[in-house]
Amino acid sequence: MMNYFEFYDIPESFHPDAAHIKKQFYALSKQFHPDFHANADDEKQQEILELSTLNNKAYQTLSDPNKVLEYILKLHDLVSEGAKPQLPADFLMEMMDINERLMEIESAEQFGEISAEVAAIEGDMNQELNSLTRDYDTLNDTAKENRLNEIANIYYRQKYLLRIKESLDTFAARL
Amino acid sequence: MAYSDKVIDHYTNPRNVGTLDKSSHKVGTGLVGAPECGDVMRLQIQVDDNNIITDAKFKTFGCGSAIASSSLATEWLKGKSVDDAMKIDNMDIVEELALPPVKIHCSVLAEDAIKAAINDYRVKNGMEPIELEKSHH
Repeated sequence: MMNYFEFYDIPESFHPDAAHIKKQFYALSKQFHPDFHANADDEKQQEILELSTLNNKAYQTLSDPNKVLEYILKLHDLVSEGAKPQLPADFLMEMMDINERLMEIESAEQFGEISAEVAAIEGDMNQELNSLTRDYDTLNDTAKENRLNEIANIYYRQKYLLRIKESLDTFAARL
Repeated sequence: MAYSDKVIDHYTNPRNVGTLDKSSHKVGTGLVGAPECGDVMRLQIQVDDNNIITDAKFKTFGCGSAIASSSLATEWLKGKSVDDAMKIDNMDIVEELALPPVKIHCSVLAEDAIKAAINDYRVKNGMEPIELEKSHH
C-alpha cells in the first residue's frame, strides 16, 4: 500500500508543509468524492472509496506532528509490538527516582518541584527532538537511518514522561 | 481486559516491595524498562556465601501485570541458588499469573530484571556477566 507521503507527493519529513497538505487533501477529496463516480462500475466505486479513506487517514496523520513522528518510525519498523529498544541506564534511573519521589509527595511544594523538574526534562527532550527532525529530509539514506534510531530513542523516552505526567495530573487533582 | 485473581492478589498486596543496599557487594540490582508503555522495574537480590538468594526486593512503576510479575519473581527468588534463579523463564510467570498474550511483555521484563540483577551481582564479585540471549517467548 502507498504511504501517506507518496500519496500526497511530498518528501518524507517530520515537518511536512501544512498548507500544501491541506491543499492536497481538498483536491483529492474532490477527486475521490463518491458522488462524482456514481455511474462507475462496482469495482471502480470500491476503489474510489478506498482512496477516499486513504486520503482522510493521510490528512489526519500528516497534520498532527505527534502522529507524523509515530508514523515515520512505524514505516521504518522502529516502533513495533514487542520492540525492545535499549534506553540509557541513567535515564531509567532518573525515571525510577522521579516515580519514587512522586509516590512520597506530601506537600504542594514537593509537587511543584517535581513538576518543574519534569517540565525541564520535557523541554530538553523536545529541543533535542526538534534538532534531530528539522533537517531529516535533507539527509542521505545512511544518515537518515542513524538519525531515525536516535529519534526512536526520544520517542520511547517521551513515553516515560507521559506516564509521569499522568501521575502528576492525578496528584494535582488530589491536592 | 480481566486480570486473573493471582494478578489482582499480587497487585493489591505486593510482596517484597522495597530496596536493598545497592552498594553492598552481596546485593545485585537490575533496572529495566519497557519503553513501549513507560514501565520501569527495579529488582534486587541479596546473595549469601553459599550462592543462595536470601532476600529479594522490587519496585515497579507500571501496570498491574508488571507489578504482579515482579512481585511473584521476588517470591520465587528467595531461597533459590543463583544458578536456579537464572533458569526462571518468563513463560513460568505467564503460566502462574495466567497473563493474557498482550501482557506477556510484563513477564519478559521481570525475567530481564532477574538476569540483570544476577549479572550485576556477578560483576561486583569479579565474575563474568552471563551472556543473555535476546529472544524470548
